[in-house]
Amino acid sequence: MGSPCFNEIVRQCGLSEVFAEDTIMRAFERIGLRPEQVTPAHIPQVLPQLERTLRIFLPKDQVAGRLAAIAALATSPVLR
Amino acid sequence: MEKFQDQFSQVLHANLDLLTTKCLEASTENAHARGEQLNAEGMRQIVEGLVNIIDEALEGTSSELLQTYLHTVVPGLVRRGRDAASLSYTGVSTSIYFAHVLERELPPHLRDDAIAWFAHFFARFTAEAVEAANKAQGR
Repeated sequence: MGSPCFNEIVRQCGLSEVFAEDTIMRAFERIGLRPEQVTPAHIPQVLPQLERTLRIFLPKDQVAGRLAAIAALATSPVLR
Repeated sequence: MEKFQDQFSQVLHANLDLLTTKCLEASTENAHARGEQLNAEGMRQIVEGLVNIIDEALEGTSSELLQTYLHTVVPGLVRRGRDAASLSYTGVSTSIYFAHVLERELPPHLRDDAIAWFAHFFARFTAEAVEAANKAQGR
């Protein structure tokens, strides 16, 4: 039900598939977006919220790498 | 008077691996569990999240992490076949494992206050998780 960009963020986030989609969805809801509306252009806007969210569940040394992978999706030609 | 909060948090963070193993065992032995079992990495993330929620509650300034947990982890577990009875089972066993680690590693003069706080925290947490599970099931 999410856009290709949203689904790719779910795949890249490093969270268990049990709750990854709900968690990423909640982060985007905080900035007023539904999963199907998410495009690469929204990624910079959601990164601070995603960082707070990933810090709940991931060891601190994994968070920066996951955020960098998600940030790189903003310029991914595949998702444009 | 020394407060228990700082050491409480340190003890739990230092025992994340042990607590993950125990929660995985509790989940595997859960007679009420339906659907697929969580893998070790998923359980580690859930336990890490729980310990961070405990930190948040110890600080007492927000419930943002708790709300995120209730709106993400619990519905995810429900979709994989867990229900309120199953979450209660895991919650009770988890709380005993956590309390055992705290009792074992906190200095004696902090134990009474710490365990009393934790008993009420975890009871509230389990009640809210059960409520969230029922809501996710449409009850």
